[in-house]
Amino acid sequence: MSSFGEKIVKHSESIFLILFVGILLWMSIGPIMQYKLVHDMPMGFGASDSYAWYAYAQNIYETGNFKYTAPFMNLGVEGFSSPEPPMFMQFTAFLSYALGIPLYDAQTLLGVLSVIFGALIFFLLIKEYSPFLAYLSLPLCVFAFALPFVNGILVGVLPSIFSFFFLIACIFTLLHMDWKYSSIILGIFISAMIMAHHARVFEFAFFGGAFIILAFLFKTINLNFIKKLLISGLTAFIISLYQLSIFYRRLSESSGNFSFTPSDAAGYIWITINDFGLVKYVILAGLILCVYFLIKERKNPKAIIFIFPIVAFSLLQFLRMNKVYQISFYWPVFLSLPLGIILFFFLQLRLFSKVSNAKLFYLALSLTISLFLVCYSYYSYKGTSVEQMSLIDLNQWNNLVWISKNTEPDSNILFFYFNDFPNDNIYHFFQSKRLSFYVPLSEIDSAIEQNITKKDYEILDNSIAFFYKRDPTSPLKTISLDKNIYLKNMSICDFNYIYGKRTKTPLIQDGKIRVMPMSEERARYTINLINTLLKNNNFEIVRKDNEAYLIKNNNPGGECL
Amino acid sequence: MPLKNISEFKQDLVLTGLLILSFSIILQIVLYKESFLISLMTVLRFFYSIVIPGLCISLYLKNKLNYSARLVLGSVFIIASTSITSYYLGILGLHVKYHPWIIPPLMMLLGVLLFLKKDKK
Repeated sequence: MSSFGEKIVKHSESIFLILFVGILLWMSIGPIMQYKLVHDMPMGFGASDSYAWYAYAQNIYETGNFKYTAPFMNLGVEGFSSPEPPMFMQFTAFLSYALGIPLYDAQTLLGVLSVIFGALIFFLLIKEYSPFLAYLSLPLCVFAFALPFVNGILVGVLPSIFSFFFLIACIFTLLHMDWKYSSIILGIFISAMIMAHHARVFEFAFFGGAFIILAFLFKTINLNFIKKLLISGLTAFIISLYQLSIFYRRLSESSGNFSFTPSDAAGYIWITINDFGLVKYVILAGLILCVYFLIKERKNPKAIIFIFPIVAFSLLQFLRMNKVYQISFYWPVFLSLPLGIILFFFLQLRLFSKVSNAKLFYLALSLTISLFLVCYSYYSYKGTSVEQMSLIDLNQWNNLVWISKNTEPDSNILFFYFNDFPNDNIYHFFQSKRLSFYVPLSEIDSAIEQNITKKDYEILDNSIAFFYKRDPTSPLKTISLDKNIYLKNMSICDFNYIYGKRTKTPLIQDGKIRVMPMSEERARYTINLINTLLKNNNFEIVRKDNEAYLIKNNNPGGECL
Repeated sequence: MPLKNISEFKQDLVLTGLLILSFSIILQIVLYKESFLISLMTVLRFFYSIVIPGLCISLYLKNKLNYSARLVLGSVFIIASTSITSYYLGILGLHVKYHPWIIPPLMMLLGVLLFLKKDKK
């Protein structure tokens, strides 16, 4: 073989990984970001939560830190700290500055990179047992960027997705506690995982617990391991303490949100094994084979890896606890091993024993299966497209940005009618960077039905639920304030600005374009209301485009209707 | 610095250079509506802030892990440690916009020092 040929064979694994990452990028940032990196508005922000994380990241981007929330998120009051896990937002802000791309593009990119890195670490984990098994397992990871699994990125479960790849890194480090500094490395991974999404501790307890039980049974555990584990735990605790002190407040006050009761969480993004299509039969058979390999290879400490897909499958399939549904977005990564083991098992039967260069053969086979699964996943979900996943359109985005740049920072704004999404999707109002309120769609519909124009509607605030402050003298001490003390009854006459949508526009829901019922009536009603308000000299139009009116009230609190 | 270390660094540099070239091409194919300059700059900046510090920090594991494993694990470690460092630096009053100038070089330096310390022993 020529020296060039030898080099190709020597670096064939690296070439394979580059090609595989290329396939994953093509499947993910390609369609989600519409084959561009820099945009005029967020891409792949398919749900309200994406805008909430963006608002937090934007606050870090502008103020430089995650110390306090932006006042408009806490009813215009300064000095509140958020119990939300900060790592994803902090790293998004860092990445935006580091890469020189807009913050929202950095957010989507980070979501995608998290899954890709998660897949690559899991690949390394399997490689500990057998490189060939690792090559054969990797193809299933392409499902991570096919619907419905990619919904994790699109509906904004981003901190969770970010934390899962730290969880896989923790598992990987657990297998290498003999390395120098492993306890510190594990401690840093655990604290990053906790501060990326606190709920991961629960899954880590299952993965880590299963690992320790098996390591005990396989007799690979020793006193040094326990000692290192304790150092890791202590390191993680010290690093996370500042953030945990405020999260503790949320945990102690929440009822149900962190409960361990079974729940059918997440509604339409609920994922089952059926979402793998016909591949599910291979996966299920592979899970059984994992159990077989665990028993057969019990003297091989590296065979512990076979427990991880079993845990990932069981957590979602059998326990169905709140927040645990989020592991479903990583199922294509965790369940890649059962797919690989089936192929590996048959190839081990020496059906292909005459193949001279096994490594190249396995790599080529893996790439072929990957491409087949890419085609299969696209074929299975040809009715929907991730390209169309966005909660608001460019006009609406531009209007929100305009408000943030052209209105007084301490002004408040009523989004009377913005779009036809259900009213729990409201965090995009944060992009106006103003204290914002909204009228529920049902309230508008009721007024349309009664055919009345009035000033007293049910008006709801668009603020976060947490009103926590740190004690200035002792930052680990936190107090919780009652949100209601900052709220007051308001009519439409009390706002500095009123935003009203003036056209019916189709919206994209579950990847399909729809004009919602009542859309036209709501727009007509809003125009009537704004025209009525404009008869009062205190009101003036400050912005008008094809999408909406923005009117200013020069005498907020006075009579208007 | 011993000659052996310099040659190891050189090998890493060549591989990293090839990787930057490969990913610039891949990113340009994936993001074909984007200008090549933006794709290239993004890859270069990504390597500067995550991949190269990751390779440096995992240098001391050179005998245990191959290049691709060091790259993946090192990058993940850098993402974890940078997130944490950036969070606390921000709380301490250093604006996040300065962090890309400070954290990656610090991580690279730390990685090289760990490697040299290990080699001395």
